[in-house]
Amino acid sequence: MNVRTSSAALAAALAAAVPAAAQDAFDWRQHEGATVEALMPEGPFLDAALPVIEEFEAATGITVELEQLPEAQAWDKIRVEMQAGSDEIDLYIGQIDRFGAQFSANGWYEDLLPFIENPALTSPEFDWEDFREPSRTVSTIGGQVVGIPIDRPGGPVLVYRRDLLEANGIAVPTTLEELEAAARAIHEATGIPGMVLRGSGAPATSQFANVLHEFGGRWEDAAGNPTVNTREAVAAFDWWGRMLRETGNPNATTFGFPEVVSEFVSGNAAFGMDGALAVPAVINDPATSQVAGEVGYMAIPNGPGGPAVRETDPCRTIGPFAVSINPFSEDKEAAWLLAQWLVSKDAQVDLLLTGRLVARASAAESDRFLSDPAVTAEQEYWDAVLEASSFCYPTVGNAPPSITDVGRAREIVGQVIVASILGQDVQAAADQAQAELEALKASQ
Amino acid sequence: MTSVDLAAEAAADLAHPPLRGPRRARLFAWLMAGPASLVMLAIMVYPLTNLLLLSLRDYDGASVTAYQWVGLANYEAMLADPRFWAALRRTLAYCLLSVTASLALGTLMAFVVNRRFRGVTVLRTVFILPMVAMPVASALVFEAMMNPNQGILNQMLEAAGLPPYTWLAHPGSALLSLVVLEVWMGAPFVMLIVLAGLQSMPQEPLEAARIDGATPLQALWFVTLPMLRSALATAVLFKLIDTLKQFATIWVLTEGGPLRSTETLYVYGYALAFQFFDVGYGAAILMALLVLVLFVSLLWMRVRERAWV
Repeated sequence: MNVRTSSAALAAALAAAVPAAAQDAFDWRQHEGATVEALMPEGPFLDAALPVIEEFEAATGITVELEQLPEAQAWDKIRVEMQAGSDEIDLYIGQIDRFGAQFSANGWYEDLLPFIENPALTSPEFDWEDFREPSRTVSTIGGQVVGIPIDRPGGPVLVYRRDLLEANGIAVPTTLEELEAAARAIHEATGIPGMVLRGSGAPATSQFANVLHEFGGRWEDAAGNPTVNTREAVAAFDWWGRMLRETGNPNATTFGFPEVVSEFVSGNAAFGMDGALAVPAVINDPATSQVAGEVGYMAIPNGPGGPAVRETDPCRTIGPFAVSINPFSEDKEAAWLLAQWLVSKDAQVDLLLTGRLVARASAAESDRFLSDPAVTAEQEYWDAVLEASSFCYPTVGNAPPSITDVGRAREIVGQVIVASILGQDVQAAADQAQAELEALKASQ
Repeated sequence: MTSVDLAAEAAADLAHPPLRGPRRARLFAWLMAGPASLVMLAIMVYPLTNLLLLSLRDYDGASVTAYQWVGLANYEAMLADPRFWAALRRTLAYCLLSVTASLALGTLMAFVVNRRFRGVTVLRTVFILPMVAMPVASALVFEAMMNPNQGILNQMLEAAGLPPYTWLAHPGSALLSLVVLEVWMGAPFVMLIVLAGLQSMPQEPLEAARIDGATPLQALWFVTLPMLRSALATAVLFKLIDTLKQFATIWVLTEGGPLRSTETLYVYGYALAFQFFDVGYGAAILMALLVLVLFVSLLWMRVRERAWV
């Protein structure tokens, strides 16, 4: 896929769509003097938000009091504040697949749709339609817009060592079956592990979801009943464990994303697949990676489910981060103004240029993005990411989405992944997980 | 101070003559102990009471509705929960293995550094170091060392021509690997206590034994070790409490995995309360741990009183 397609035409269309007069007409200073308390987890979104907040304060006369916490603590704090019905936070960045079901059931989200539809509160530049589907659908629960999506977790990208493939006369695989054969061949020929993936239980589930999908498996059926012990699911669990155990990583049960990255950048894997791994700044920079310059990227190859799986039922990845507003807040309108700035078209291009896929469709088509030298230098990466995101979209769930206790569900599914890596009976482990998930669902 | 105040004070003095003798001493003692006691109340009794109250509630941190009193329901659920019993067995196994090995190694280290030789001071310092290191930092270092592919432990095994060990990666070896770290951290403490015992020990009985023709091994077994009973018993008590309550290193290294093979009571209670937000049930599990620690400590002190001292 070529990301340069019709950029000029699009830029022109965008310019026409937002008349200068309309921008001027919107009153950004309507809440001058107000204070917005914002809570954000540390990480790329916070880093991107800091300059935006500064501009926002200058342009609106609103003061932003920002609380920054490590991710896990931020999630705990948000939960505790909501439970207490506290107005201490007005706006926060959260993760919809982590909170969505529970928060929505408890009435802990302010519905943003009335804000979006109110021209007195929403700048014409905002353009809700620009947030690419299905991000908008994912952010809408029970008819309420519970958050404005920021990013768009990428589809799975497979990274590989070009040098190892060439030296061993192996072609770039086009299916998961070929991938397994290639990983085995390289491991047998060189002793280098063929594949690195997450293996430490719960953290592996978000990455495993993609392979589950390619095998034609699903977390649950249409009625919301868990389906983790079907033939397809068991085959997917089995593949995941086999890829690690039999191609040189039998001890991967301790691997979370830091280990996956560290194994790959130190040259200990021919292939790797992980959301945290497919980042050129990490694996293709000689300062951080011993394999810089030898890395190839491609969208996840087709599994036994074939290409049809992607067309009929797009695969699932983890849900997006999103800006939400506390329903107990006393400054919702001022908070909404801040929300608009945090996901403005400009802010989204800035974020995209850091290597994160963003929610707005216009960002990847903007001139600023297409002409950036860092983008043209990593064209293969961007092509792979955009291709993967064309068939893989963010939707709820790195465990059966109907189960509201996501933490426990992930832990249960994670046990099957570990059992598979250890070479235990995968069907038995999947049956056990199925029973535990059913009990968990029945108890909610 | 105004004259009115002075007059009032004088009147009060007349009505209540200054305290003398034992009453005064008692009041003074209470005054001195008061502030510290209040602080103790605040930091010990309040959290414990709160934990107990939490354990009697259906407190689901992920929901607005459930914050109900449920009496002993959490405890009933606990007794019927196979994961609780498995965690209890693991806690005891981890504790017994760690304490036994720490005791043996620590005592051996104490005997080594009790001798006089060049460099003994340096050796003593080196032996103490693991005790001063922060548990989380130590755990991170062990995590790197036990890494199955790049860790130095497996590289050493490989260099010696041995197959790599699974360390934390396999349910069959993960708990033992945690015991290794616990012993590494715990043996220096035993060494310190035993060394103090050795150095304050009267030498006459040993000399008498030697004169009577006891071999060094006999002297150790029949004279030295019995005289160290009290020191050893103290060391065991502290290590029992320490290892039953160990959380930081286990959480950093395995979070209870793989396949829950290192999930001790503390780890299970923590995961329930802070990962699954089942705060009430998590509190019940941690209450059970508290009772276990108390029970084991009291039992040990009773055994020690009856049998040894």
